Amino acid sequence: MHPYLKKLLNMENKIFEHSIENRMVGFKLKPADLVWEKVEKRIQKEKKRRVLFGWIFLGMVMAGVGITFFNSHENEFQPTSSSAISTPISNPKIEAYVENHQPSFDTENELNQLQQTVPIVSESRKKQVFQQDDIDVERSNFVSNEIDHPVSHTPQENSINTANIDRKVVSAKPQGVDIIIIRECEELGINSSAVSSESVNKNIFDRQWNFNTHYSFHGTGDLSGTYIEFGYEKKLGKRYGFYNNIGMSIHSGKESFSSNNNASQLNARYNAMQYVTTGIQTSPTFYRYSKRGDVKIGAGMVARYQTSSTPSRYSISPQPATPGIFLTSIREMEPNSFSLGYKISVELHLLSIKKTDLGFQLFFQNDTRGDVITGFGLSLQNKFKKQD
Amino acid sequence: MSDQQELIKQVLQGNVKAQKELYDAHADIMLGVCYRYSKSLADAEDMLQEGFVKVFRNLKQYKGTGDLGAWIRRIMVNTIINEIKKRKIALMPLDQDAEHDNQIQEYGAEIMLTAKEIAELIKKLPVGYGLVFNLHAIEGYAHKEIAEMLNIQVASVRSQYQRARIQLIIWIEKENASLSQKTVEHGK
Repeated sequence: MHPYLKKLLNMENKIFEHSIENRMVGFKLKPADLVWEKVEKRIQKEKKRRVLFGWIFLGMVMAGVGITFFNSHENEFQPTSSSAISTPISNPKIEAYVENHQPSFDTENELNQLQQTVPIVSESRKKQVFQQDDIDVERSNFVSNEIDHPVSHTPQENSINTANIDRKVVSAKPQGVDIIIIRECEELGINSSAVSSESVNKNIFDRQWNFNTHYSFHGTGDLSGTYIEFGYEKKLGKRYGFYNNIGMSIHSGKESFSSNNNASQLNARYNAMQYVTTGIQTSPTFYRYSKRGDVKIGAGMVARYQTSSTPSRYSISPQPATPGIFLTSIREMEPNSFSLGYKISVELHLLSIKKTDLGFQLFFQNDTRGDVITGFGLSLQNKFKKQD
Repeated sequence: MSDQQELIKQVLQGNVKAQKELYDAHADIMLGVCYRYSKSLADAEDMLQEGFVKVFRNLKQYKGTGDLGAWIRRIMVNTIINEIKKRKIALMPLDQDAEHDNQIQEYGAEIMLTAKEIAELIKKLPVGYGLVFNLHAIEGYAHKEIAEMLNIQVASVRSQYQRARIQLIIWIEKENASLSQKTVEHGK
């Protein structure tokens, strides 16, 4: 067949292709031992990463279950109508106050009406009861809460200016009725520890400075180092907080491999090079607190700038003439990078000393560069209330 | 259960010895594949490393129906293509010679070169030519499949293939002639 006719029929001369294919079948080259070493190392790294992710996931699930569990049980610990009746109020003045404000209900309708329209106790009556230095309210009977539902009251009673006052409610629930007292700590001059130092701290301080220091891992744990963070948190309502920060990490690792090129050093391991990765980042985070405020879970985004001395492409060649000496050729360095990602953290409150809290934190972050950083450590917090 | 299935099972269970066995069984031939596409042995070894990591990562997706070697080879080729794309190497060379497109070069003579020598000649081709030639002539992919893999026009694949083919035939004929001359001289 004429070649041009072949072209017209879109056929190719396959003799050449067959010859080449036949020649190339079974073409083999022996790879260097180092290739397997690297493959094995990467497989192990991925395996470790999977295990690490598994543990982190399990930890998150357990933290979630734990918080849900104690949140649900905390409701059971709050005084109910029956427990309030059976538990005597230790302070006779408060007992008298509660007694004075104990309405009697003849019908269910009246009860419902009162529940919808709970009276705010007037300023003068509050002072009668609370203007005492030695007032002592037992937490078992009086639980500090914020107002969770709208309260209606008369215009006269509403005349108290409470706009700049941290309004807290001390409530007891005898006979199924909420007797609500607006507690204004500053005006009444009551020692806040009398109610509950923990709950008052939680409610009065709405901001905090944080200093966090962590032992952390970059990647699958092959790079270890430190992550340090300064941050500022503002409480958003009762159970939420917004936290912003600036943090810095520094991690280092070693590239090691084994060699059997020397009979006297079979499978000897060598640390061929050490490298450092450092980054600066910010991670605006929203926190959700447990009801007791001693556990919080945060989720937010991460913006990170990173630089590294890690080579992304390199080769290590044993020198047969000088056993134990290797030629390391770096062919490409990892570029500096800017990446975005997400960060998840869990914090457990350990102890409080005055306005200072200490917590234990766990965090996990992942970014668009594919980097994973995990860490655990301590969080030191200084709480305060913003002056209006 | 066949030996191969048993080996795969062991590999999936994370048995390092089995992983090494699987690697040893296919590494030599796969390095031969990588070598044809790369510019140096070190590059080929990098590709081999990357390819085997993917093989172990995705082995659970191997159904066991086809030949394992062919499955590994496909992963290697995909890895190589991704690597070439990642390095942003232009697949279409600048010095286009339209004259080549209209030529059909016949070649019926015996190729006297060894596989390694042919591989060296393929490596001498511009990256785009070499890639297309390897994929079509040796791996057996159709022009359309190659065009989809590389995100280029089918016409471009066809054109690059023709140029690669003509260039190789010229080089092979030259090498054949040189070898024949040496053989004759040696015979004298």
